[in-house]
Amino acid sequence: MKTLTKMTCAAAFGLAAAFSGPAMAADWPDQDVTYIIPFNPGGESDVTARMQEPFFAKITGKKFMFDYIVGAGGAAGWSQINSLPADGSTIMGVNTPHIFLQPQGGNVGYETDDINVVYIYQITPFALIVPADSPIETLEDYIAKAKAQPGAITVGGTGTNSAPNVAQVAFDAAAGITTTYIPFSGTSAVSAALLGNQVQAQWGFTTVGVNQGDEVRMLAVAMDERHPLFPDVPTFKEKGIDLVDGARRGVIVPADTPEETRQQMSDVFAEINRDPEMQKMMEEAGYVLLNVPYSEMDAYLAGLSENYEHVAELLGLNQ
Amino acid sequence: MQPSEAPIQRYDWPGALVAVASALLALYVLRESAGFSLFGSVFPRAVAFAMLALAAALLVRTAIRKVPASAIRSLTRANWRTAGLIAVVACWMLLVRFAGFYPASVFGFLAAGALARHTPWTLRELGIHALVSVVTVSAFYAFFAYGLSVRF
Amino acid sequence: MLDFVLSALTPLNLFLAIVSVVAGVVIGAIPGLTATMAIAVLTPFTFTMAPEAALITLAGIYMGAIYGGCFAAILVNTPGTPSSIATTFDGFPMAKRGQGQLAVNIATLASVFGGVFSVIVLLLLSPPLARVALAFGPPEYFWLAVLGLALVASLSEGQLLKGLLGACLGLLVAFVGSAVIGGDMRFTFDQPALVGGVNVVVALIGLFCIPVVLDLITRRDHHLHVPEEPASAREELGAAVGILASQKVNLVRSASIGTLVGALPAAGGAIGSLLAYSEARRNARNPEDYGKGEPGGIVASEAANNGTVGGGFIPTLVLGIPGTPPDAIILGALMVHGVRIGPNLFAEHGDIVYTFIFGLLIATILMLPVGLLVGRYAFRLIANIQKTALIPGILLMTILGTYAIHASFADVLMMLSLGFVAWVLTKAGFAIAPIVLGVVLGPIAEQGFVQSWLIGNAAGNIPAVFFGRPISIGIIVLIVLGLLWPVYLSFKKRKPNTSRSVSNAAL
Repeated sequence: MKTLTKMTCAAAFGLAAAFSGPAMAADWPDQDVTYIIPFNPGGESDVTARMQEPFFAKITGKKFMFDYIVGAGGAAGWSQINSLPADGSTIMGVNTPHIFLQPQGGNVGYETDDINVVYIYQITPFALIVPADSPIETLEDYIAKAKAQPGAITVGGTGTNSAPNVAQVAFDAAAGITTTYIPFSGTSAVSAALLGNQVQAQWGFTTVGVNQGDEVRMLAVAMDERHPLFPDVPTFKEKGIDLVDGARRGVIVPADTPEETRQQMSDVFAEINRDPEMQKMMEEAGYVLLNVPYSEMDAYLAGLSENYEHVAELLGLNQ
Repeated sequence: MQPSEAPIQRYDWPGALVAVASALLALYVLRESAGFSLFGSVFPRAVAFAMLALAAALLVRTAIRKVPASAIRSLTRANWRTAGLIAVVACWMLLVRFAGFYPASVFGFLAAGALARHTPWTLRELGIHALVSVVTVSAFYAFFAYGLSVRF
Repeated sequence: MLDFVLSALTPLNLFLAIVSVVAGVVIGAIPGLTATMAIAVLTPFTFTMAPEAALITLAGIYMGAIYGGCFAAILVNTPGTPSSIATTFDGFPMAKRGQGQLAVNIATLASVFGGVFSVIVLLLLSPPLARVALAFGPPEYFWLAVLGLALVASLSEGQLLKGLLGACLGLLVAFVGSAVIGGDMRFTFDQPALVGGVNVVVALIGLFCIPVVLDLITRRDHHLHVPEEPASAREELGAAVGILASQKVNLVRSASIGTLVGALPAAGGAIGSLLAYSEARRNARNPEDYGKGEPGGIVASEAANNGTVGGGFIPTLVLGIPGTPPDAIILGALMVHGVRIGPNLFAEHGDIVYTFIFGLLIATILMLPVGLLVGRYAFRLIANIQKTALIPGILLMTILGTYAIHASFADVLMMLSLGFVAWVLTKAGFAIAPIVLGVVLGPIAEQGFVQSWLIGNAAGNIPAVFFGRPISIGIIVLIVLGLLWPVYLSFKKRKPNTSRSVSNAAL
């Protein structure tokens, strides 16, 4: 019966789109838009982009056509963005801190300045996670244990010089402790390691708390206020540690895309985020909506860049 | 009574060549990995050292022991067709750059198939082969481009 | 329970099961197209379906594709998917000898058995097996990879040095790219295209296919020996069933290994079939025949690789952790359908899950007639096809298939280059299998080793991490047995000779 509802909705959207003009008097989009995801299908970047689709159709009457350029942790796509059509027909997903840290590690085919972001629409906040049956019950326990035996706590995360790695070095520096970071090749590998008690903790995201449910315990989240889904989980800020950060997702365009188009894109994505259904869907999956429009992008990115410069030093990337 | 013919024995020089190449590769790996982080260099260096040891052992063995010449001869038998096929594939790749995937593939299919035949061609057979080439390449290309949505 | 079986048997679901299995088999049979790719492409089409229909479709493709890989492996010595690597070891020699049809039939029967076995395990034993899978940590993964690499030694009888050297070369290929641990950019020659490393499938296609094609073109005659009077379909099937009946222990053991390895996240189908092959060889009465066309090898490889399909769903459905890469995509598809994945999946959406499992069971059983039919025609096709079409056909499929992975021309060049090097190596007496083992198992061995070292270092006791864990000890025992067994066997064979020569001398 859910199918029937879904199909009715789809039909309703389609009819509405066919009969009404676009909700705003904008020139973009004048055709279906190709939305390229630089990660594997079925992954979080894919899923969050697809969440935007029905609302995009509702607002503009046009569709997203999803395509994938996979490789090198997103670098394969980001190194190609500027060679794609710049007429507004093509957009691509983007993730931070990747675009800040990847170019510092070597020749990945692009530089951070090559990336033209038009909107940042969500952030997935960092979370420090332990198995549900772990003896570590609170953040204080964690810090105390780390201070008692420096380096003895093993905490897993995906990849090196990646978002979880950033969380680990930033937190350790702010809390004045040392932990051992164990990199894994992917989310499933690190989740399995955590649940199997191969590592004692994991630097992950709020989405892990949603996906693994009662099997895990989140010690804290890197947000300004507690996440609505997890009212019992404190924020790092409450505990006196200034860590408000996570993996951000946004939309980028080829460098030659005209300013006016970028502004219109920014407006459309802002409107998508204003839809209460969208907000509910994102929140229930563990994400946090963010709204950084094009007009504020340069300043925002500069702020992020400064933050990640400092992190890069901690990671040893600046030689 | 005729003396039984002993098989001709030769040194395994192809094996020796590969051993030398492997040793050089191992040395290169050792040099490159000097700049890696501790954990990034552990395995490559271990493998490189193992390669040096194995290559040395292989060199010694190829110097000492002989293998039947038939083994080496059959191993190194590669006639003009093989060279031709390698050349065809190389041209295929170059053509992709300049003419696009589809035309290059038609050429490649045609040429590779022509090389594969050991008996002489008649004109009619050549024509059929050309037709088969175009049809097959088109079918596969369509399947990949439209069925699997691959970007060409 | 019964109503779930019934809902799995609705005409729509049945239709989807058949169509998806057939599509999967065809895709798996083409070198270069993998199950992961097929699922990725077809997932969006399933968004308009009901969740259980979508699941059945995607899982049917998955099961079919893993099975389909055996066709290319047996008939053209190229694994259609990484899971069929071990099938080439014995499948192709059998085909060359004129037993190609028999080999395909054996592969079909074994695959169906392995698939059904793993789905039944999924149905009945998911929660406890999920816990067992979690007990495998970095040290266990490392030792499993070593166990797989030890297979190099047994495969390289008489050419041990070249086999080991080949494995080292394969390991080097696995090191290219951005390191998971340490983050170094290794051996990328400043090329962005190499930052992601060498894709396993790309390496596989190149290493296996190109030498085959370059060799084929020098031959006048066909590479497959077709018997003068081919046996009837029933005779061939009967012979295959007979062989499977004589390999009961192998069959069950391989299916079990496949199911368990599939349940290990970050392991994958290739390793499952390689380990099953290794164990089958070790426990066989005629280990020296393995690699030369022993049916037991095909039984082991194919039962295990289809076993990984059902096994992979265990952590996926129970814990929300994908067991294999296609499972990750299927999980993503579930999320888009609004199904909350995670530990509560069985509780909240039991109807969807059970309908799906039964649907997968039906699809797997349907693979039997589909496989036997397709197998007969596939064999006839490859056996009768002109070289003028076969050779360019293989080249075309490998080039297009490699390109299709990431729409990257660089991948195609890499594939051809690796293939050329592999061909040169075969001219010097090197075998391909050890190199491939290095490429496939290298990343797992390295990550497992370094992760274990870091964990042990943090605990202040490194040897305990490597040698002190029960599962690791079990695997190490298998490794030692596997390495010592052939030595012991050859020792036993020599003994009667020495006593005979002594008695001769005494005369």
